[in-house]
Amino acid sequence: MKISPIIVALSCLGVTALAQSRAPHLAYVYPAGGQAGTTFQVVVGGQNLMAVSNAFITGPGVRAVVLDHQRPMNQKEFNDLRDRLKVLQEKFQAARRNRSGANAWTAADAAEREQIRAKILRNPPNRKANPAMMDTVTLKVAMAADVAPGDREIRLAMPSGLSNPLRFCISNLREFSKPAAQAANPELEKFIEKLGGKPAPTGTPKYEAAITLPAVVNGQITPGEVDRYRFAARRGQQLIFTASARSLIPYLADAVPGWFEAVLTIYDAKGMELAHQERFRFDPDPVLHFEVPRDGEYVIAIHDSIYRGREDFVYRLTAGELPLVTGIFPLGGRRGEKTSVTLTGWNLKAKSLVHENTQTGTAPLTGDFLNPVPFTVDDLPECTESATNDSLQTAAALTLPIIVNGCVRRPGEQKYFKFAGQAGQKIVAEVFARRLGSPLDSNLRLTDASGKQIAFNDDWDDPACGLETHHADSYFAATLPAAGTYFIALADTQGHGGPDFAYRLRLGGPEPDFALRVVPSSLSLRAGMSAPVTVYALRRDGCTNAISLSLQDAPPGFSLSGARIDANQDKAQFTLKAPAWPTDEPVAITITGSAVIQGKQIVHVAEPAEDMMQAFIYRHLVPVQEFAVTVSGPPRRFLAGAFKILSQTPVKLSPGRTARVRVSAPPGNFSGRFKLELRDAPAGISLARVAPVAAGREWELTFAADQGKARPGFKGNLICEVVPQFQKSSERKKAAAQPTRRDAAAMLPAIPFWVAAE
Amino acid sequence: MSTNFFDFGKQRPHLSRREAIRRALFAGSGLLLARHLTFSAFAAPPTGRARSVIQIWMWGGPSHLDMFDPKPEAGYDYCGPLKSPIETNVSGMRICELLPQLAKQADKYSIIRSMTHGNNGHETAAYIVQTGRQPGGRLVYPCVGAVVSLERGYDAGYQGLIPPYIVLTEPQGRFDEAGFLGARYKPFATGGNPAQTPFAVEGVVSPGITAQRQKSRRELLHQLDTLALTLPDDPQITANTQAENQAYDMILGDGAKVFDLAEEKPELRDRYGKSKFGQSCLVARRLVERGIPYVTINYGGWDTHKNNFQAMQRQLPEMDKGFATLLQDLADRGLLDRTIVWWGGEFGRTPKVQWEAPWNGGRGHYGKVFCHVVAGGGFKGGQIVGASDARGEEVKERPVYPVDLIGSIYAQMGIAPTTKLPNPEGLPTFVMPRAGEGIKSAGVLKEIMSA
Repeated sequence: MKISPIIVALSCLGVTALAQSRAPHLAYVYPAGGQAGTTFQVVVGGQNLMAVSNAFITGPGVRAVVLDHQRPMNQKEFNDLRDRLKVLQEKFQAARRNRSGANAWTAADAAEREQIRAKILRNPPNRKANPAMMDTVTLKVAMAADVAPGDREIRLAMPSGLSNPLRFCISNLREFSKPAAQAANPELEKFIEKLGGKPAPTGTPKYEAAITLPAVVNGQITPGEVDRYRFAARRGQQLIFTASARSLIPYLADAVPGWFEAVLTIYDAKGMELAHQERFRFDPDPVLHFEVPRDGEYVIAIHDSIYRGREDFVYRLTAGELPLVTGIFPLGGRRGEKTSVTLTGWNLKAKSLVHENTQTGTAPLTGDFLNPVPFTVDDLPECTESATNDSLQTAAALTLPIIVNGCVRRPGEQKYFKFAGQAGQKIVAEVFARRLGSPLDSNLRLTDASGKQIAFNDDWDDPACGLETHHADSYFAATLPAAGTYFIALADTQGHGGPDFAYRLRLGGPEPDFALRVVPSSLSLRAGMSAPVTVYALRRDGCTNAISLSLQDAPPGFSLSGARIDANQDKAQFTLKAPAWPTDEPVAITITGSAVIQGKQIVHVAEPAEDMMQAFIYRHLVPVQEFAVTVSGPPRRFLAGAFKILSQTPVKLSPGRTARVRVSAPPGNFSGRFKLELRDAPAGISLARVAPVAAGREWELTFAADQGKARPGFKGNLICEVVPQFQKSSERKKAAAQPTRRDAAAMLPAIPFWVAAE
Repeated sequence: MSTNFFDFGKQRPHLSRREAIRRALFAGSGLLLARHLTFSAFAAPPTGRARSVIQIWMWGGPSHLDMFDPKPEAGYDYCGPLKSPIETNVSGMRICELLPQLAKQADKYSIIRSMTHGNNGHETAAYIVQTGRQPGGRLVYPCVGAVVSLERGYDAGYQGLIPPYIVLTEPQGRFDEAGFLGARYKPFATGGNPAQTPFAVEGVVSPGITAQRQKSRRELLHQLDTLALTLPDDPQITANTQAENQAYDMILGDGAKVFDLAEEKPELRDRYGKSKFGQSCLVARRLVERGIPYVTINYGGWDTHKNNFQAMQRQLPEMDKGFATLLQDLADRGLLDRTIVWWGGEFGRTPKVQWEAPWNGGRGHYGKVFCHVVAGGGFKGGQIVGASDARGEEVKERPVYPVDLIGSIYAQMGIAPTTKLPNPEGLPTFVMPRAGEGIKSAGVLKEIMSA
């Protein structure tokens, strides 16, 4: 039987065009960072890690190499070893009873018994293990002495896949790490006991160690575990303990609450509790400030708030007499100006700094302190509120548009502003507080001169807030009914206030704009193949414009197909095509979006993000540092002309009718082994038929638009996957027993379409 | 005259010291069950066709696409490896290939493929599906079992030895089944495992204690009970003695026998399957045979967030065997006509498979559209009610809200929708919500209710 080269090629692709389901998936990295200038081992837990060959950490000065892979042996392998061990054990006992017997115990037997024991203990089976973090890879990480402290990202790669990123931190403090956690394995404990080992420990697991401050302590929390660290401190020291837990792994899909909720407690040498923290304001990661009452030894303890635990409950606890900023004022400034920023916090060497506002947007404010804090830069005129605008009578008069920098300094305090408005004038009011680290839970009210309420808002849904689960900033858009004086009242919904309750109030006309997020943030492509990418448009102030997407400074050979978010749409799925040659390491790809809004061209970079699930149900777009793409596999010249869209696009689809699209086919008897499927089919659109035409050199794809469901005017992309049609019976059985996502052997470039009105 | 007929005396009876001692003496062995001595059906026959309900509560939320609403045309990302549904003995009615026994019984049941409530939380959805009400407001409503217990139980003249509302084997624990009706209408959960011998029903069958030993214990108790010897004519003591006699009848007589599956032919037990679920189905049949109005089989393991298809391969054959044999057995004994079998859970599962880690081929919660199955008790078999769309993501036609199904069950039981429910606040409350309550309804299932 002659086998077509294309069949071989596609079959060999196996994990081909995009192999994301079999790509490594990281659940945790432990320790989640280290000290600059040191070399240390790191354990990464996850799924599909056994073929991992490389580890990549973003930024310069940090290198990682793979040392080892581990996966619990399967039950059959274990049973075979156990049975063999039993035979050897019986032989050993028989030989002891009858030393002169023919069945003598030999040195080879002894060696084999030891080998089996060692093999089982090194890699024991674990039926209780969570498959999502069953594999582990050990890395050696070397950090140059001159790398700056901060956050990086780590990804693991194998020839056909690149993992999701995880946060990896660099500090300039001494680091201490407890041994990496082992997944609970009660059956192994019993087995060890049978082999004559120690009985399994009972009761709540505890870990205690001595540390010297300042330090970063790394740990993992297992079920019920409390980790305790003893340290010496002197009277009057202002100690800071900051836990990073939720910030390392923001969301757990299969846990409620959907992250590791770390709790910190300080005890004195007699075990008396002196301080306790469960969070820092609205942030689940606690920060504990502790003024040492007397010289002596103390203990800082960390555990989960409801005593859960698993391997991905990873923490970094930074401890010492360290400078920490708890609040700044103002929270931002105007582009092109310099802003004097007042700092509040503990152990700060300076009470203020000057920030040069060069670029609009929100970026971390850094200085001689431990924690970067967000600072935002805008183009609008700014002012600082007066201290007396806490009543309607003393409302501060504003000229719009403007950004007011203010603070709700006292509990229950309300801030009042007034402005002159015209009939029909559109007004937007927006508070920036939570998003900039302020504890303020704002509400905003617009009234006319008679006190009649025109608009009110407490919270609004801002999809850009990937890490905030209680986004409390306010926003409204309103149209003024008549000319006159209008009042804005701003308050804390919970009636709180204080020197850190700062805000920025944007008040003016609508400024339509958008932000972009690109998902996924890791992609592995075969040379010359395409894979789908999704870009979300986070629109604001009524922006409805179409957004064109393009690559920015991409390496040669990368291209996009169907890269456009149409007017009034919030996302687009399109395809990224890889060059015909592989890359040595991940390439950072940047996608930008541009739109003409009110006559001006606006361009924004699509921020890479992970689409993460929290507690089984909620989804968040969590920004990450890079959109990393690897290209693997040798170039395939015979595929160079395949999978090209030959028909004119966008394709017009009419409800109740069909439309045909021609695509260049790969050589060989393709349709006998593979079929095309429409991925994430738009509502009412289906792929009705695929037929070879032009003597098999082309395919004709027939798309059908449902009369009732295809929405006239809708525009988007049709993305077709090439999937295996037939499998061997053994493959079918395996697939049925352990079903996984079926990987596409190839993917056609996105085919833009629109649904006509008729 | 007050319209409040809620009897707080029944709810929280005055407990004398003597009563407390009596309860303490008997409670350990479940003797309190002995308030009602003989097996009997209703004192006054209800007007509906159905006398009993067996509810197979698929808690966790069973996957509609992998059981009674297969969608092989939706593609692998929706149906996974379960892409070859089988024909049933009713033309055009296809179900999952892992349910071959149920395929042979399809003429006995109807599939509702358009159940909907839109809620994806276990507790809330379980409350909505089992009460027909939305959570919140001033009242916690009773579930169907508690209402049937009220309307067909002791208050309606039921005098069976076994409580009128039984749960096999563990309470679901997602919400208070009795709601404002109070503890009297909560189900009696058997505990134990009917697949084991003996089926150690809590307070009724004590594993490891023979009947002879139980009798010896009773004699010892009598020797210690000098009060009864001193005051043989005291009415309270006489009542206690009667209660004790009833209790021992329960433990050593017919009460225990209903749970003794050794009375069944081994072949029949095998047909049900030797699993906990299969044998629970057999116990349920024995209970309704004896006139118990409401039996719930709490069947867990359907919250298949992870490895859904492995769970289906493992669990569906067990469910298929037990459920199918129950239908056949009830029919063979002439019980199906007066017994409603109600199968379903709090919601369905996400039609699109979650292949990514940590789910690895799992399905999430899905309240937008899901399946329930009803059989017997006046419900027609071999029918499909409603439909979901091509991917099982939306109701395509004839939405069925939980209240519609519950109302249909009540109708078959002869419980009028306007039947008042006693509630502690004296509010006019009825078994079915009134129009003003804002509960979504598309009407009772007339299309599958026999005239």
